[in-house]
Amino acid sequence: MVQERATKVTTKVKEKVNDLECVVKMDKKILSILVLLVVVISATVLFATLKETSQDDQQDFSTGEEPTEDDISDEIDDSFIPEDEELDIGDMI
Amino acid sequence: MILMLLASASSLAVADEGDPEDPVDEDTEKEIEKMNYSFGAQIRLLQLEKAITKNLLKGEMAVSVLKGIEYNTTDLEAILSEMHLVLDEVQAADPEANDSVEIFVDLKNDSRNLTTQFRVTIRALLSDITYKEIKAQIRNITSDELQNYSKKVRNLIKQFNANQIYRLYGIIGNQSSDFVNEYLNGTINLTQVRIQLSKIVNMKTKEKRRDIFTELKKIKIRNKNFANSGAKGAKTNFTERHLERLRSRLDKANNSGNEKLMEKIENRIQNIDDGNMGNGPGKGNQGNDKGKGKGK
Repeated sequence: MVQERATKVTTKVKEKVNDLECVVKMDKKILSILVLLVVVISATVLFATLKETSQDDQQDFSTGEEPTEDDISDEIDDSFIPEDEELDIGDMI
Repeated sequence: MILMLLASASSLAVADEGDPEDPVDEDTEKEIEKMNYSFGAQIRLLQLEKAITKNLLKGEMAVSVLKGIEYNTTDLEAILSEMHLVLDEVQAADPEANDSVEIFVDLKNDSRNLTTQFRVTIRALLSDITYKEIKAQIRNITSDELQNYSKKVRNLIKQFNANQIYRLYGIIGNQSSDFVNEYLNGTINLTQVRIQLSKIVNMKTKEKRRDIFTELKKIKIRNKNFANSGAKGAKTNFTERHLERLRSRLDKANNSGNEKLMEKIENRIQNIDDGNMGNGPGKGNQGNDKGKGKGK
């Protein structure tokens, strides 16, 4: 009788332990997935930010937008130095 | 992530405040951009030479007027003597040298600071009426020397612009070089060249126009990067180079027996040394040398 109950209890305990192990394994998996998700999201945001900054720095010219006549004139004007340009170091008086 | 955002926000805040010790202002950085081409450095150094000569002429005129009405002009004369030394240094600078940007930034800063010193000193010396009267008298002063400088600068700029027209021809894809010759011999002016070039580009197909625009932007970015790294280079060891120049000027003042100038330079060297001891190497204050006013 006692032997029978002991066997039952042992089986139950074993089942419980198995269940718990499964839960722990699941928790670990979930945790790993969460960590991985955070890393991926961080990397994506970081990449997007850096890309945007570098595009801003470089005054993106490849957006496919059509340059206007003024845009082109401005760029051409920028290539030259005005002949009467003077360097400013301030006035003496 | 939050830390990153905080860090970038704080760096933006610092950038917005501006750095009062920055020797390269926006105008100077723009000027450096053109030093990326041949003639560019030569033009900038010659423009600086002209600006110093103009200020020396005005300063000397003001001093001789003040001497005539028996003012003590010793301090003003010492500033002018140092400006003459700066002018010598600009004239001796090699536009082809690797450090021509640094030299330009350093000497432009020195000239600007000496100009401010002169203005502040003379202002403190005179009454409002005398100050305004002298200002009016020397406002439009000119000389043969200045006019020669203007001609030389203009000729160099024309050479520079002619090279730029060639470059633009290359980008646009035109073979003719008519504009260059017409511009150089004065048949057409720069405004007409610019209008003509814009017209040629605007007559091209959409795709070609976009290609040209992209190419022009790329060049602009290249020049901006050049100016940016030039400015960074000029900021590195700025104080050390400044001390070196002051010591060299001190030797020259010593050789010429200019005691007032020696005293002024020694004081400034002392100020910078004291600043260095307080702030660590490379961060010394510039003593009286930090005035960067642009004139009233």
